[in-house]
Amino acid sequence: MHEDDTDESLMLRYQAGDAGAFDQLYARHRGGLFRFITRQCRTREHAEELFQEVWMNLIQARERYRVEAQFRTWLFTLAHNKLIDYFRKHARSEVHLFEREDGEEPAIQLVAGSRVEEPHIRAESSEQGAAILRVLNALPAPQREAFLLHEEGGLGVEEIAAAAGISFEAAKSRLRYAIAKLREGLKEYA
Amino acid sequence: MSNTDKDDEVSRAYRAAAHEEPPAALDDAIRAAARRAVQARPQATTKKWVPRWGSPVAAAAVIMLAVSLLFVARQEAPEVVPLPEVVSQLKEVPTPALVPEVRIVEEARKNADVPPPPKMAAAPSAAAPASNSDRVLSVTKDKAVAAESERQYSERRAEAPAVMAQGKLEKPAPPPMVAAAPVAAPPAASPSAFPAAPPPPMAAAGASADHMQARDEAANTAAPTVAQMESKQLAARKKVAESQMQSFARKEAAGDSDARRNDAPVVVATPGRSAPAAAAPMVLMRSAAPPLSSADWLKRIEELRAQGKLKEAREELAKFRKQHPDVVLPKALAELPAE
Repeated sequence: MHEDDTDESLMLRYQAGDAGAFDQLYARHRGGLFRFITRQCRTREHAEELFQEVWMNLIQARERYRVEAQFRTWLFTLAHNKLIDYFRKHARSEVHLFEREDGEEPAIQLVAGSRVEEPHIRAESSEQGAAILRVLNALPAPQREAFLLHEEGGLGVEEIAAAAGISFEAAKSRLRYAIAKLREGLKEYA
Repeated sequence: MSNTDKDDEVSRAYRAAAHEEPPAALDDAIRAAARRAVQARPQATTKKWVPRWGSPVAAAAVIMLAVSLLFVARQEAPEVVPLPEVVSQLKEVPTPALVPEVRIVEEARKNADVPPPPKMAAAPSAAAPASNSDRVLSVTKDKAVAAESERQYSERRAEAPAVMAQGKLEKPAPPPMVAAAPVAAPPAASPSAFPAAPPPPMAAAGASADHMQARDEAANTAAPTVAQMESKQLAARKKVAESQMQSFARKEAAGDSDARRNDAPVVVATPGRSAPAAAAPMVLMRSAAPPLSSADWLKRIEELRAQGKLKEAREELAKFRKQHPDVVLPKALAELPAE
């Protein structure tokens, strides 16, 4: 097992029955995927549950994996789908945001029930880091997701579009708006 | 992105703040699930593989078995004896319960020094049946011979009184026994009067060995049974004849010639083969009555007249006159008023 093995080769090895390849893949993406989910869920319990479900989906869908795109794109696509299901159950307002037409710029607003209001998020907020997290949590869900896909998944605009199921321009717009707002937030809390 | 430096600043700020990790228990659970999925994979593959070819192979095997069974059944179908034929065979087969009585008759024949009849009835079973056609021919011949023998036996029985009356019997004394010989010892061909064993009905040409064996067994059982029924009648006739002959001998020894005359018709009247078996005891009763002398007979007629039984007295008198036309009737009887 080599450190330079690509995600795709590791996934193919796991598909062939190499459990060690899965461990390596899991070690590489466990933190980023967990934070990607945690930043979008209302509770940590829900985040852990969704995190486990995403990996279980990957395990069950290993036979259907084909090297047609980056492994990370496939992995975060699974996570995106799980989050959409989660929003439909627990956060209808965020689902509406995902369903809005691209180009409309929702304003950052702190609404009741938002992640910004949750205690564990508030406790983690400290100084600059706390400021950026507060602003991130206040972002509209599609923009937040685009930023998290870029930061936690390491995806480019094209991969973000593929994972979120949106156009390249929409992904680019979401990411651009998200970074701009975060930058504004950093200035305010600086 | 044009604002790369500013993006890096945002990225650094975010990475400095975001460092959450999944719990170790969750990591272990997910890794374990991944290993289980890989380890269970061969079993799942095997489970899927078996039904792929197992079902068609099982269906083909069942079809082959059914076809082979059908083929075999069709091959064996002509050998099956139809039920009506089997029933008819069973009807022709008498019950074997009387078989031991045949031995009694045989022993009686031996005691009477009568040559045993040829075992025509047992012949079919004793002889190894070469084939069904031979068996049928043999049985047919047996039946023909039996009918002929029956006819001869009846004729000789009818001729017996005349032979006795003419004293032409070759057998020596005692005469009564000689007279009884035709009855006690039927002609040589008379055993053929015993109906032959019911022939095994012709089954289909390809009758199975089991069916043939069963029919042979039934025929073997039936042959002595039918024969013993006839032997039973013969034994009864023999007893009647012996008793009559003994009575006749006693009378003959007593010098009463009327005894022979009185008994002879009775013996002749012994029913033939076609007569019912119940006739034998009746004959026995008649022949058992002691013969009357002419004097006794007249005395009995006189008694009937004295008792007022004129009708019976006249009938007896008529019979007496026929039997003894030379005897002078007493005056009282000679003057017996006519009816």
